[in-house]
Amino acid sequence: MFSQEFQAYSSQAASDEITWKKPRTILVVIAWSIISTSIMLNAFLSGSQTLGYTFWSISTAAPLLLLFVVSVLAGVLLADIKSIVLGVFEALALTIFLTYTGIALPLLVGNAPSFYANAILETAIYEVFSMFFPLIPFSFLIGAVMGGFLEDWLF
Amino acid sequence: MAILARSNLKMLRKQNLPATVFFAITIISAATLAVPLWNYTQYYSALYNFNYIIQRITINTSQLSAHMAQINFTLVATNPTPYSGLQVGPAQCEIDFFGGIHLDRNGQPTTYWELTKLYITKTRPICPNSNLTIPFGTTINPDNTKLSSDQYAAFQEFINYLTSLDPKGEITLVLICHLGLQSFMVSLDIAPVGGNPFMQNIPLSQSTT
Repeated sequence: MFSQEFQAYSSQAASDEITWKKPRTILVVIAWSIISTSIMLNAFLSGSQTLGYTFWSISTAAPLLLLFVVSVLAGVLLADIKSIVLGVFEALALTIFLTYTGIALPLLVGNAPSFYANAILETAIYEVFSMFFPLIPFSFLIGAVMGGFLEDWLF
Repeated sequence: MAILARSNLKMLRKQNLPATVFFAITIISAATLAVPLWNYTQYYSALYNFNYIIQRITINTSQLSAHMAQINFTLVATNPTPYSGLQVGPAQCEIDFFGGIHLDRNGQPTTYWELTKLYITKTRPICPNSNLTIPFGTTINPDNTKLSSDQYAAFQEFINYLTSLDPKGEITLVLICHLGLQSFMVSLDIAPVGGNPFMQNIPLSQSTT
């Protein structure tokens, strides 16, 4: 009796897990991107935007550290290595896109004068690349992989 | 059964705790971004709405016969924008540029400009992004300015000149020069259409929005 109940419960739980896993992964990646975008844009708007080139200062190391912590947390939630590796690329791409959109937002919402359109777009591209490369992708990947291992160890 | 349910609940709690924390952080981080991003966007919007007074404008017309002139003007920015984040108070900007307009071989008016002096007596970073820090600034909307076609061509050429000064998008100089240009256009605007754009009877003080 107990065995049957347990089997039924287990199969139901496994089914629920399969059903929930995909949207959960998508949600985690989106949330990861939003947090990362927020960190990067706050860094940009506070003036410490050249993360890639001036890593060894507190103001620029702080966002990097925050991104690493967030990546660890995302790795814990994504758990398996396939989701983590795919999630890193997806989250990174989405973060870059959102950050670019954020920097170019005055232009997109029509607040910036047309004279500055090119300047803003060029600034956005330059800032995004100087902020993200080369350190941020490593931060994402290493943090998420560490989170995956941590998940195995913890749960 | 009860033990199994309790252990599963415990497991669920364990699994949901990081997720809960993660999504809470998402909401908090999105919330913390909202205000700076709004300010950043409004900063550009505020550049349209700018009151200033041309405190002094002088034009050296000694070379007027050669269709050249030297313009010097002092601008005082007053209440640059209703947006509270950009209240910089009075700021003074003295600009001096040398320019000329002449007809080319085809009889088309051609202008050239040279910024010879730029002096700002009060500056304050008004944008959180240090790369976009400007003393104060405005831009002009040529559609709202009554210009003759020659004047508009001169304006376009001047803009091109300013842009060529600053191809990397250092907005500061361009914005300041826009102020100069705007005051220059004020002086143009009172010139009779088709007449010499460098008028000698420039009012000492004008205000525009």
